[in-house]
Amino acid sequence: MTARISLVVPVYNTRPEFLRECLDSVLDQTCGDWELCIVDDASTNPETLRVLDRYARKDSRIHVKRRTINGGIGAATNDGVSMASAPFIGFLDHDDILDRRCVRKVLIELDKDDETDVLYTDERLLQPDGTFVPAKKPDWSPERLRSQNYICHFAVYRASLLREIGGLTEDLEGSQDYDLVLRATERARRVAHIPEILYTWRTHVGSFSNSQGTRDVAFESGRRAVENQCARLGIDAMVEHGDVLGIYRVRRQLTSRPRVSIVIPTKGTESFVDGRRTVLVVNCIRSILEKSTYTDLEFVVVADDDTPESVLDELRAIDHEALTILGYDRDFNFSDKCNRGVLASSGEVVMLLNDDIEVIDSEWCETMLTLALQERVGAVGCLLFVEGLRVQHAGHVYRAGFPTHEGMGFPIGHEGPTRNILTQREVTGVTGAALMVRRDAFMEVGGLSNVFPNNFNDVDFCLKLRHAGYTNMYTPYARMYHFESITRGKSVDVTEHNEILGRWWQELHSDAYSRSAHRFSAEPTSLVSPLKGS
Amino acid sequence: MHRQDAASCATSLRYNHCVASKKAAPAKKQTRSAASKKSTTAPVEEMQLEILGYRDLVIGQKVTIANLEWRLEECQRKLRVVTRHRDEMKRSATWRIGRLVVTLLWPVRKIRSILRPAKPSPSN
Repeated sequence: MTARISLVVPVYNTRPEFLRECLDSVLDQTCGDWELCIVDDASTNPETLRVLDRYARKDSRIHVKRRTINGGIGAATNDGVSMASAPFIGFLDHDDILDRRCVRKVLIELDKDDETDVLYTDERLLQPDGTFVPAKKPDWSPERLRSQNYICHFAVYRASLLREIGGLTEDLEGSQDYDLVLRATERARRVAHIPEILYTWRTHVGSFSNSQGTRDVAFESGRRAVENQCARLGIDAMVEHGDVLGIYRVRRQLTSRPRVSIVIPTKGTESFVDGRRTVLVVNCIRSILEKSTYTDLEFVVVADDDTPESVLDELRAIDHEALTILGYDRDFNFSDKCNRGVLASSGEVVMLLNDDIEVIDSEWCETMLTLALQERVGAVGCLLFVEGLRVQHAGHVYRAGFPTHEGMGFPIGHEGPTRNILTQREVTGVTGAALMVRRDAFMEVGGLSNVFPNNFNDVDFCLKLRHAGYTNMYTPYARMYHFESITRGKSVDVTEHNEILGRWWQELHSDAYSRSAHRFSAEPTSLVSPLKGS
Repeated sequence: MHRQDAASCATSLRYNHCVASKKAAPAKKQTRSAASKKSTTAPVEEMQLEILGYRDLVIGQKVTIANLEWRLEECQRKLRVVTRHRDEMKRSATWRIGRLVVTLLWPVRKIRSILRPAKPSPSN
């Protein structure tokens, strides 16, 4: 039988019980179209060598190569790649475990599309205490991959692509696999994802990634890997470490500075903010003018007819040359108000903003613009906090037909599930409370739908953008306060919910970018584990 | 629904919408744009709003039909699974033995029901 997938396993002084479990998991596969390419990186443990000999005799599909000189993980893996004869190559760590359905499921997925060059599956972490932590991953997310190595295991590459890009680089200590996945995916015609846990990643005391010093080196290598990718792709950006290690911030340079029209629907609500009675819309505009470093801003305030005259006077008193107040004399319809505001504005980029927002970061506009101005990027959302120092919004999540906010209720500074709060990434949708979008994209999809006067207009708008081929983005580097529910109640209209389900049933039941029960580890890679010490 | 049908349905909806919007153009209401002393832009044209609404309608109808198709396919898939399970169950030895037992017991139950004396009515 000809192998259709080669599993490459670099080995160095692996504990025999772990190695046996790893190799047994391959022998136990329900599909037999595989070959196992084991490269022993000059192990000194005789037990490890005995286990390898025994398994090599056991099955003709197991090939073992012995290196005479210890070359480290990169060299050992590259030797494995050169041994492989199958059209696809999967990487398996010497102490990890494959699910017995793994090879079969991978081959079925590869058969679906001839253009699939890279494929990854979900995984789970086996903790030293024997418990499992699932890591459910989003579908292919290139922006997220630059922020976080979310792919890890089990990754399968087309062999020809792997050879074309030269396999693993042997520098970038500790992040070779991150660098490999970055280089491979930028040349891949299609990247596929199997949303099923087919790999068990063992974390144990002897693991390389548990050592603090080497972890720091690995994270720095990861940053350099992302920097290298930006250079290759011509992204004019600086790459920095994010708020926590293992997260990288790609700080793009703003190539143009278009006018940004900020559309704020309001009815002139007054409320207590920080213990002071405040007109929310005035507070919102003043916070932008005081804090923002971006200057080419235009404000369009869409005010209900019953807006108090004193509020309008306060708005008129704001010293800004481009501030328009547009009257609105119809029944409340958030979508219609936003649409009218956008049509009355002139900027190339539009920012929909609730009147109960207060910006925190001075560079919020530049941060969001760098994403919004990218090709085929639709809506861009930001990190919102509610009063009481809790997260209110870090992108939308659509689960079981109900749209909710990612990270809602987490304290400020918390990384959230899968570090979603702190990671710049692709999302299915973002809130309309603070949403930036290019005018042409807004017009192309018909703006916000008047069918949704109160709720779900942002969900519908973002899904329309996705339907039109745009990608929506979330950035944690533009932060704002959102004094939500000061201005209106939290009730959800059943008819609106039925309407949104009618339009987007499938999308609201399977969010491509946020799956339940997922948690990514902060660990750099497992490919670097004990072998790195070699 | 076939994709082509869905497309033609969307087209007809577009046509109907155009007719409806021509027949009953929404009455223009006076907006209070004069409220601003700094108004720098022209008032919003109802025509532009109609264009937005038209695009939204087209996308809305298209995705609704696509979702209905998807839901129909999901239901058909689930039905196929249930039918397959039922067929598999009917082929199983347990099912066949059960059916045989029920068939064999039927005459016994029938005879017993004939032989059983009729219950007196409560009024008696």
